[in-house]
Amino acid sequence: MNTSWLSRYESLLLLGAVVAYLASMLLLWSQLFLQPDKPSTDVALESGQAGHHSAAITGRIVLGLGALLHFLALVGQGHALFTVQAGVAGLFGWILAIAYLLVGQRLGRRTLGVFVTPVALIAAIYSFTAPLLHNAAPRALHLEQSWLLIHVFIILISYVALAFAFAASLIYLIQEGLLKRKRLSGLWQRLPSLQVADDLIYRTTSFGLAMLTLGILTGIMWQQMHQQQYAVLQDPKVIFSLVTWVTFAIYMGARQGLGWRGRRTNLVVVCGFLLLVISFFGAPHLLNGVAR
Amino acid sequence: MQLFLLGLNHKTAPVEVREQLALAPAQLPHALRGLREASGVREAAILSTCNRAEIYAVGPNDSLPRLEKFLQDFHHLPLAGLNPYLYQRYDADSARHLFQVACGVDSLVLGESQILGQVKTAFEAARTHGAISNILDELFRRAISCGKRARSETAIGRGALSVGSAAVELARQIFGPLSGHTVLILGAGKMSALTAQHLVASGARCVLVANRTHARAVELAEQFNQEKPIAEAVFWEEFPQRLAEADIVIASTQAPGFVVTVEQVAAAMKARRQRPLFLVDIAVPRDIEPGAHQLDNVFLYDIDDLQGVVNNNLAQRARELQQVESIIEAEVTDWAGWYRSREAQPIMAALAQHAAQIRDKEVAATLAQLPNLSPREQEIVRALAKSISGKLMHAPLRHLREAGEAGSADVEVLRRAFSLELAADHANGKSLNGAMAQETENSEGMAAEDDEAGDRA
Repeated sequence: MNTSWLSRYESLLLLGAVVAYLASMLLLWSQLFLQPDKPSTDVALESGQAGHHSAAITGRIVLGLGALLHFLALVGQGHALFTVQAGVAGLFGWILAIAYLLVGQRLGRRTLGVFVTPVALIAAIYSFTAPLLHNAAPRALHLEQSWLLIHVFIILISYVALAFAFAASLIYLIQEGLLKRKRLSGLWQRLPSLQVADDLIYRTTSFGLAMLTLGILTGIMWQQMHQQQYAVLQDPKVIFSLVTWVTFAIYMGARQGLGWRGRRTNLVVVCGFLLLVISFFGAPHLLNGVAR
Repeated sequence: MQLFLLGLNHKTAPVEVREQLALAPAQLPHALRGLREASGVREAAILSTCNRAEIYAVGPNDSLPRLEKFLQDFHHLPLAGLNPYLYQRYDADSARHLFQVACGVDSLVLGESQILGQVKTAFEAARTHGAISNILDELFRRAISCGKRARSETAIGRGALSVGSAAVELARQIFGPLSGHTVLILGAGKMSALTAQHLVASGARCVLVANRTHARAVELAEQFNQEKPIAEAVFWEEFPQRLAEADIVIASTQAPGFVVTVEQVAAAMKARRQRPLFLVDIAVPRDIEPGAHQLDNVFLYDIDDLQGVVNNNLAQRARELQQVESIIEAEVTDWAGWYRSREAQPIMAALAQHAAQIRDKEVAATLAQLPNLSPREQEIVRALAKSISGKLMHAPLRHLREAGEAGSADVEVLRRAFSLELAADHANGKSLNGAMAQETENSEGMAAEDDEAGDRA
């Protein structure tokens, strides 16, 4: 496919995607914070429910539009996607948006988008700040390239699952705080119940953790293929990733083994995701590997 | 012909007066028949609930005194005593009132949903007994749909309004769907039984009942078991052990001090591996140590907290009032358009009839002058006449309908332009039944004419 014209308009497309993500986020927020509640269940109502969901539906359509623009921008960026950190961040934002559109509604009612869209937005903005990605000199990646692709793909899937877990944890913590403080007007009725949020956190975290394990393993393998004398444990990125991994493992262990539940375990998930962000952005690779 | 409302409600009349006007459903047919016979109105419907008694009627312009007289005769009450409590409304104001009633805006508890069912019942009763025809039929249909619209487009009907349903609302926010959850009742009182019933109705699967007097626990458990075996009576001494099984605990004992301690709850939480626990303490003095709320994953709500939820919901409904009023206004405007267009209908009917008479007369005269026409040729002549009169009448009829809807003076202008006399006594209310029959007939004839004209145009 000839993608030259896409690369020319890549930053414009990306800007469009950022604007669409922002609009979608604002729409979903207005749905949560401003709209009246859906009708009560004590009267059987055959009509009129559509009006209330309109902001949410528009929000999702706009998000879909943003994801489309973002996709075209990604195509324009070409293989820099996988080798430059900002490119990977953009890819992450796009997969997150797509994943939310595909499964988000089923997983956590409409409120999940309130916390997922800002994450996608930030990722897209971050990828926007790295100018002219396609000008980055493509490194020669021969045999290893397919390994790298697999690694990046698996890691991104795990990040998306853990971002969902993070969003659901925030929902849980807010809902729990409202119930504990007995602040019971408006917002709490529109958030999913504690049980629903908790189940969602558990499911997404276990999936995300499994993917993260695979991702870290493939990453280490790729680095070792790339450079023979690579010392795994001296790479800050790897160390951060392992700390993140341990944090999520603590969550699973505490929940399954010790029977912890609720606020404390879900705080662990929030910390885990923040560590994940730090390990992605903050920690440079010791070797001139994936990210600069 | 006018639309009337005569009634009283909880705002205008004390319960001693309202109870005297209350009608049992069995009395309704008798009352509807009596009402129409005594007051000579064409259509009538009665809305009688514990908070209101209202008569909606369509009749001649001077019907109201007769409606009042009927009310005092039927209930054997002196009108002088009744008068200060009654309110009267006409036309669009009657419609507005019924719409407000249907939306729950006029209710004691703002936005309550029962009233919508009562409006439906009143409508169906009046329809079954043939007491209403098109005007009230349309009015009640629109009122019911207005009530539904208000509840679906605003939060006027949103949120629990009783302590029991507030407990269900909270339980749902903690557990999601309640199916498969267990309720423990401490103290088999009426309040706790009622609250548990709410929870069971929302899907709770299992009920444990503990009471100091065990026999009372058994009794209540049996009540719950009438449909499905879901309840079990638990000995009072055993409840601390059974606490771990319960997801929701409802406490309402008469005990002077705390019955459930923080330690007991903490032990139960350990045993249930920190799955959330919802404690509802509706006893005064309280049964559950307040410190339990500080435990992780424990949510303790006392009677004041639940009342707070109810008050919050009421305040939330009040905030929706303005939006509901604007829905009602839109529906009233709509209704008024329809209602006024009905006013023009006798004139439309007369005009259509006028055209049909001229057409038939001219066709007859023409055919008499042309005796040799074949049946097919005669048919062509008839079709020609019909086509000309239909096309000529199409525009004025449409204009009449529109003018009617807008309440414009053009109705009268058109009536005079065609020198139409209205069927007898539309204005002065004599020989009602005859006028009604004629009017119905006419409007049907008119509709057919109008349709044909429309097809050809």
